[in-house]
Amino acid sequence: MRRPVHPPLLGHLEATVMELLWTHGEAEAKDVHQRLGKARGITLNTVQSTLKRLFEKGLLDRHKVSHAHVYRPRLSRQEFHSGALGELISELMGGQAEAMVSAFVSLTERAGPQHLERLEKLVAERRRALKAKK
Amino acid sequence: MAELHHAQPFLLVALGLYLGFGLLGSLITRPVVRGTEGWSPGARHRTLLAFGALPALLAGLSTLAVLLPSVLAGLWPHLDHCLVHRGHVHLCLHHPFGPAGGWSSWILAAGLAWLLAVVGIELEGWGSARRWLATIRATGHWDPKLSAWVLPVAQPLCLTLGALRPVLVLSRGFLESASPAELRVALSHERAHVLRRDGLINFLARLLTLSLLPRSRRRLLSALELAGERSCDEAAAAAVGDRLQVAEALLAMETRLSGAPTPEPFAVGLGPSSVPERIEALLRPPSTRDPSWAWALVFLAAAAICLYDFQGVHHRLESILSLAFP
Repeated sequence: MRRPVHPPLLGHLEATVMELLWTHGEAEAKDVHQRLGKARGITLNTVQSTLKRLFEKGLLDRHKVSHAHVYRPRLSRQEFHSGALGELISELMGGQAEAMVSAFVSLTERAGPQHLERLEKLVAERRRALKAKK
Repeated sequence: MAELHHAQPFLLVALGLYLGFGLLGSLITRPVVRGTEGWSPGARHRTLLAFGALPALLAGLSTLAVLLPSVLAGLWPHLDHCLVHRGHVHLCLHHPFGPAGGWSSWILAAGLAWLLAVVGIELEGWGSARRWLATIRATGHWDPKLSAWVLPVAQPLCLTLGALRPVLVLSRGFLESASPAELRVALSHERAHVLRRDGLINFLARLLTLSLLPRSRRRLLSALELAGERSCDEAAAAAVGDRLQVAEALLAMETRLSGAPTPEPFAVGLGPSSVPERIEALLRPPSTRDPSWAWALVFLAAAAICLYDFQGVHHRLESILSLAFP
């Protein structure tokens, strides 16, 4: 059985197909094409390859009924989102792609308790001095 | 293919100049970083960015100067001076250059492979940001009042993500724990990052400084990042009208993050924070020192001389190459 190691980046059509399967539980390529394909002007082949890709990414399970594959999500919407979010937070706090992230306070560098104590004193002194001036 | 063969010496010269200027830049990175410490954050940021771009800019300009005689000779054949170089190595697009091919091709191939590999590593960050933005759009919600994406996580996050179209990202943990004053400071700070396009600038700075030695590059990028953060602190201070309030907000956020759990595999990689420096700078009177224009003049003068005396640059480089390829 395929196991999704990382919540992968989904393309727009992939995300729409996943949303449909999360809502309806399971479906054949034909059903998915009927619900999405006609409105979007895409062929049954495109739907079939999207479903196959999602299966290969480990996001869908499938079983055969007669000659057709029936697909269903392996993870609930919530499980998928919390996995993706967990990975995002881990990567952000791990300092990956730091050029692309400007955090108000760095996520990967810490001042340490001694610095914090010293700074708290300095800031408090300055606030007191300003209040006394007024 | 013949054109590529003729262009090979110029590519080799460009690569050699880029690495050479990078080495020279590495030697003076430390004094430049230290020398700009007392400047206003904006001036320091501009100057360090320009300094980081110098190896690539100077290599580009020098290569252009070396290439100009060939370009001019192509346009006006009577200006072709190749006969002057009989028996002497010369850089020319129209006539083959002695050492082209053989091992010089291998040097060029190795240099280009290195450049592609390091650029590829930097581009990976771009891909990560794209993936993160997709995750944020799928899992967070857009708050029109804050003009920010809000993520349903307990960690206190407040950041700007992306290079071309940066977005503000906050977490529920941050919104629940920050006071209204802290939220105002943090949002002003992050909006300054968006306005200044810091994501794009940081990305370009990383690309431009690739020829510096690793230690010098780290030092320069770290000073550049600090200058960028301080510029945004000053922008936030101007927005809320109180520098001490910005210092207090920074301190509160740092304290909050110090208590937040860190993902295990990364905990060992944590480095020293720039927050103490930023807070101390906010407690001092603001610096308005800006001698960056003088540096800009020096660079413009060097560029002007380089292009004005392009024949001289061309011939001097040929003389140096003649020593290497007698």
